[in-house]
Amino acid sequence: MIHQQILFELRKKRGVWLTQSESQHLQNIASVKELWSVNSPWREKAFQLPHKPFTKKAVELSLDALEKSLTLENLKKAITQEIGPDYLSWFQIESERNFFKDVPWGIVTQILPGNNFMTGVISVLQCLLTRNSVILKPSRSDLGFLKLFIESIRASRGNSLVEHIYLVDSQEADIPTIEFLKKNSDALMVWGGNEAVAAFPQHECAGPVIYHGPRIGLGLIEAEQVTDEELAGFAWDICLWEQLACSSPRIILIKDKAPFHLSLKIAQRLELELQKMNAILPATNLTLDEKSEVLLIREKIKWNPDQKLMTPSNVVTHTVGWGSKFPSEIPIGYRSVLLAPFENFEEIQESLVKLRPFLQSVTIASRLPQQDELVEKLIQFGVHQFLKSGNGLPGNFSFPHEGEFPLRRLRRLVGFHQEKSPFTNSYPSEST
Amino acid sequence: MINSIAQISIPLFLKSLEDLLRRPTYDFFGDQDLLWAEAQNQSLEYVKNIIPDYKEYVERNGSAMVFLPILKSQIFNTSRVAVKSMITSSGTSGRPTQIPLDELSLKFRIKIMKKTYEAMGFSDVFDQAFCFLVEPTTTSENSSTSSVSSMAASVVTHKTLQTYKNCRAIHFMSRATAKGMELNIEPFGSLEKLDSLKPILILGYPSLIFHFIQILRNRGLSSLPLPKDSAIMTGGGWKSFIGKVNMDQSKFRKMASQFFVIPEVQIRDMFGLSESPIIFVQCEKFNFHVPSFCRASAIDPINLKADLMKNSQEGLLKIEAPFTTSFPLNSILTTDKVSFHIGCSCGRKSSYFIPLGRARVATFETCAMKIGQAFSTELQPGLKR
Repeated sequence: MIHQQILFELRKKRGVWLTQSESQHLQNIASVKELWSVNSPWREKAFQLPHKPFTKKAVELSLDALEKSLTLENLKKAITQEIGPDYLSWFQIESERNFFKDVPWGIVTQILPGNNFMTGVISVLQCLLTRNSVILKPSRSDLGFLKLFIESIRASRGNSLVEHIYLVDSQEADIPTIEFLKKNSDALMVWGGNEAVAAFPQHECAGPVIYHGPRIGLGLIEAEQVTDEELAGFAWDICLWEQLACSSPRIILIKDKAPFHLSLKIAQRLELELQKMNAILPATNLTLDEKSEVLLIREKIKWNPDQKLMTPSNVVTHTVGWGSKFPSEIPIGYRSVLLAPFENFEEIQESLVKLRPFLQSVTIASRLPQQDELVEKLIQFGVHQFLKSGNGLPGNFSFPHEGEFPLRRLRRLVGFHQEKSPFTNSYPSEST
Repeated sequence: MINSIAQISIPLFLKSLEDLLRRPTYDFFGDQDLLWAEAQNQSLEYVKNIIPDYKEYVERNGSAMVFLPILKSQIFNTSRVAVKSMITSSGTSGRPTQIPLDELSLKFRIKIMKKTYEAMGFSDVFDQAFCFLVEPTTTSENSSTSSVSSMAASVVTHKTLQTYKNCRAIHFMSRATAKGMELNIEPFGSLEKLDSLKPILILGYPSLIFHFIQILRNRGLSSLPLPKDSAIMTGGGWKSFIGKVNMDQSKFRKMASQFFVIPEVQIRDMFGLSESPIIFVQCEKFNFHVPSFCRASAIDPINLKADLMKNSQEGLLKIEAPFTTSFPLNSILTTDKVSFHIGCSCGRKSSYFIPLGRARVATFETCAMKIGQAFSTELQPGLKR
């Protein structure tokens, strides 16, 4: 079980780490990249791990993205873009005498989710990049990618980085361990659904808790403009993460002047694109439990007189439903999606208000520019990300998640006061 | 009761139901069982006519089957149903489902239970019955779902036992209180002063029976021999055992057989649902056979076919039975996982199934898993009256 001595060791090693030059530090992280190149033994090991329900293609693309994000250039770009060029150095705001510095929290505990095999890997990298020591508590359904990635760090030229990582073994992930982590971490990052988030209330934790709670993605289509290619992009986004990511479009809204006519056809077209996508990202064999979940989604659609099941009963790879209005329930299950038309934003406003606490992303298949009024309205309703259809693969670190660049949440700002003191009527530097 | 409904001759429909129950319970009447098919069709027509929402659904989708979790969110207009008794499930897997039963449906549930018991060798021989079920009168007062509903197992069992002429007394060993279910040991005195010549029936939740045995043991009783031919019939709740004691059926049988000094074969389990009029009782080899008056199969939840039956593969249990005229329960797909088999060494011809637990309908480890529920505010489950 994790204990104070482990934390003491992690803290002891931080001093040298923090004084290491930024260029040396980034080179250490970047040295892991070469181990993950195409056809490398580490990739082969990764492919051999269980990855259900994800396709081999999804694993391959994720590893491509990982390799890309590990280039020195991209690592530098991420930290400069998100935190600025002065990380760990004092800086002044123009015309002020006070000094400021961005520094890591210290020891960050990551409570990881089970929905995406890459989240743990990305969490380690984000912590290392910001020089936070990291304690990782994987999900019970962890597939083993995290452990493999940590082993690859150990095998790399930057192997000293593993001194700043502690992986909680599944056997020690019990209540006393969790309580210890709550009380002894400098910060906690909690990923997961309502239950995971509720298990880490701020008042029970010594350090700040950074929540990545339950989030949901929508889709947006302009009926008269949408192309088959864009719908294929939606099919790709639905199948790539099997509707398990917060970017997964679970309800697709269709902006349409004649809602019933065009939107139904679009639902049919998406149904066909999903059938085709099965050749590229083949559906997994579902367990009886998973099939039962899909059945419940299908049955709810069938029982609702305002909805229509577009997927033929002999098609087992995915489920497409169409509804004449914004659905009262979100289909959450394997490759399941509901499409609903709207004419005016006002029609969907009330439903969006209910979804506001959970809204993360909107996948768009339209010519909408970022300045569009509809985009602005969705921003007002809490959306944090807009993705063009077919872009559901995170290619780099620096994309907002829950309203913030991810690296920014892993640093804190300290200040050094230098203003004139009313007591001595002099600046600190003048008083000596 | 309604005497005529378009396309249905009520007297003929009732006769077909009675005829089904007159046949040998565990014989196999072939895939082309016309009597059963006709009764099922008549029953479906009856329910469609009495519940317009259901009729609309069947006509729109071409399917009469109801997936049970749907009942928790679907609202049915039952204003044409003459409700005799409102029953609920135990609610162990979430919110209890409320089922309105008319006189006919209740009558058939009682007949089916009685006939099934008899076919499994438990006829009207018991002097007293000790039911480890919630006393029906107390559930009416304390039910969280309705002031007039009672737990299905309690109501139907009570009414069935009341038809047993030789049964002098029916004791309920549990009652519902504001705090929940509690063991009522008042009838314990009767159990200590048994007539040693007349068999008794102990029936109900195995967890409560187990708890009761523990109480007796704590009072210094190492065994309580029951009269010859006594029986114990358990039902439900194997997963929600009191105090999280690890207890499976065979361990329970051994333990109860030793304590009550009766053969293990006299201790049988029952499998039933509040939504189904059919009760499955274990045979002497502890298998659940399918009675001839219903159909049961293992279904693939995606293609909804019974292909899984062929190789005894695991599927969801579907029960088709024409005996409910007040609610759309003629063809139900449960969340119980089962595999089907033939050739039981007990000699009964009908197929039997092995329960394999309940399907978890929320399996996806997704951060959005609970959002669907949080967001669903429009549908308020229940009955529209």
